[in-house]
Amino acid sequence: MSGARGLVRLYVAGPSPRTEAAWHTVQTACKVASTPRFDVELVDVSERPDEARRAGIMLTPALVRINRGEERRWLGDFTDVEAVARALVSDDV
Amino acid sequence: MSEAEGLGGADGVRSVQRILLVEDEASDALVLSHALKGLGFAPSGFLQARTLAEALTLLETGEVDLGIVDLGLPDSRGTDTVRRIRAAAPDLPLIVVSAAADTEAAVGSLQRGADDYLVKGAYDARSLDRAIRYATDRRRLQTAERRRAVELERAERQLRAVVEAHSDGMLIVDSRGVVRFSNQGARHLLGFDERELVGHTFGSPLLDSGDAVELEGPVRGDTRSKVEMRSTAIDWEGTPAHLIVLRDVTVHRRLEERLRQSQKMEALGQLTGGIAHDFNNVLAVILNGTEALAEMVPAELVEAHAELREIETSARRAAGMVRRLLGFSRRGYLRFETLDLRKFTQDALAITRRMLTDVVGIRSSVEEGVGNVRADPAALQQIFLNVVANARDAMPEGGELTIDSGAAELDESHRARYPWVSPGQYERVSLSDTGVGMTAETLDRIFEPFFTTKGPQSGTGLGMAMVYGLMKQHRGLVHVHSKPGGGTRVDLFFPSSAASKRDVHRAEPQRGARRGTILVIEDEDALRRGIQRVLSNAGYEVLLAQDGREGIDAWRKHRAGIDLVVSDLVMPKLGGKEVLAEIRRAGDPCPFLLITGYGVESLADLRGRGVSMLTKPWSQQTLLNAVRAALRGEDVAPEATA
Repeated sequence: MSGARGLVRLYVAGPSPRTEAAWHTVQTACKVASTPRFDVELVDVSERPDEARRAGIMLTPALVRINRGEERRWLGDFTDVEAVARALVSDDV
Repeated sequence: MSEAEGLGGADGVRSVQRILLVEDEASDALVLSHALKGLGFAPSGFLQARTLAEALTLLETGEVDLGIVDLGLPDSRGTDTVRRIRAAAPDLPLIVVSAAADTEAAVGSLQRGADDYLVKGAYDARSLDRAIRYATDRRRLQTAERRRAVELERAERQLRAVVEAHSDGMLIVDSRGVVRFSNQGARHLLGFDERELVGHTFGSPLLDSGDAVELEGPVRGDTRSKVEMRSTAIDWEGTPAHLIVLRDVTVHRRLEERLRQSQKMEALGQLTGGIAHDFNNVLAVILNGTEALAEMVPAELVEAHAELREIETSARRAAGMVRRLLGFSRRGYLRFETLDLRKFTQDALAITRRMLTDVVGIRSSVEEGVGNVRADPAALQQIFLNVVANARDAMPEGGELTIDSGAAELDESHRARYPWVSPGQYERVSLSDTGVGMTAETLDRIFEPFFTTKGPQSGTGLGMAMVYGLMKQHRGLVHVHSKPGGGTRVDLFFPSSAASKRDVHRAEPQRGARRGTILVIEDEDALRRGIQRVLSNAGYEVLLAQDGREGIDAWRKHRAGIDLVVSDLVMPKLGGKEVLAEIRRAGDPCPFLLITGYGVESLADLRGRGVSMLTKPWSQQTLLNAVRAALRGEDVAPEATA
């Protein structure tokens, strides 16, 4: 059912130990952030550059949360699970 | 108290010195002058104008502190007079004194720029004074405000110019991550150029720590830079926001990586050099021992001899590994000649064809103009062999090896990673294969000793380490470019030599070399006995000393009869170099053979001074060859034992 689950996308620039760590952090944070309300997706901007540009991504890694039609975006190194979890539940209605 | 003082006239007199009276009626002008005198204004400061033209001229030519103007002038009627005077003197306190008592005239005058309006015959000293003070205060405030506004605008322009000119990108993003302000640096860094960033979503910083975070981008562009982001929480026009500063650190990171690599290789070189030296000493004892045993064990003990040969083979193999390690650690002894790199490359190609299977095609385009280089032929051959071996192993199903060359110029930028490289002209030889290629992780470690991606039976992982070390000894460098599935290219850069090619003189071995007396100085007992045995068996008379101090004593005692001094380099009390120095200081040109576990570039200064060198581990034959050559007065290159 549309709108029942939000979407979290992590945009990265190619595989590397750093992007793997960020992906692991985001996945963990999605589990930690109260309920499993998010579908999680990894987007490699080097493989899907047009999609990243259309989404307006400027720098990576970038975390995008789309919930109830609203989008929020964060930039950072995504090594702190708590910080990512806090971001995912911020401004929640 | 005068009327003027009671009305604040003392202040009025101080600030208003020159008063412009614009009045065509003499009587009215007189009344006004008298009123002003009564308020304490000095008549010497009154400027009379009967027309607007006269008034404007006076305004142009001099300082006027107050204007009192009649609306009815011969050359100007009504409030237009006020407008024109105001245009000519924006800061002038201006009072209209007019016969017209109607509100319309008063309002119109005020709207045109007058500060107050008095009706002729209806004003008294008090109202005149009040009007003057009101007009002067009002103008002073307005002038101050305008000046502040001008200064504020100038400060804003300057600040904006600084922010726009700064090479760092600066953004203000609101609490939703939307850009509210950007400078040129940010637009350029994010691939926006002249297009405005404001209104686009950049994103919010995940953490507010103020620490730098490294990102990559821009996603909009074709290149990838490393971008350092710092953020600070600020208040922007009354709402929470973030100041984001972005800096392109791509070049910085590249230099850091080069430095790290350079330091790593240096540390590895130090480590392997030390280990190799110690191993050489041990191997020398093993090899000498097996040679001695082989002579002692009766020939009919076939199995015993077979075991001894096994031991010798293993020891020689170990010596070969140590030699390659020394090559990496920059401790190997090289003998430089001027070589025609083109010819050398062609000769090496002929040799390498035998290494490559038939399914590997070879293309060569070595340029005619490739010049001369100073290089050790054996080392150069080893470099080629190692690189070609790797290329062969990368193409198990066949492929193509291409060799090309050319001139190259290296600049200062290479020094960050290769500190021994001087800017200048270089000769380049490149070997490219169409093999499996390497990942970035493998490429990062390719020059590390013992690093290998092949199985344990397929190599020691010393090949490219040796190439690195040998190129470094040649003051050149090696670059490797590779991509998984995309083959590998190895570029070798040798400093160009301006010297003309000359052949290395190799003396023909003379038969029946004169036997003589040799002083042997060696602190390792087993090695000392080994050398004595070999030389004695060859017919030389041998004097022994077990350290440098004993050696000097022995030399002094038997000086006249000593034909050659053979000395270890590193010894307690006094080393080989110090013994040599003392002998030379005494004026004795006696030939000197230095035996070293390193072979060392620091000995390069001794060459050509009757000094030869031999590296451990040596064999019977290499020792005898070196001794004979030294006795003949030749500058001997140490020969490998493997």
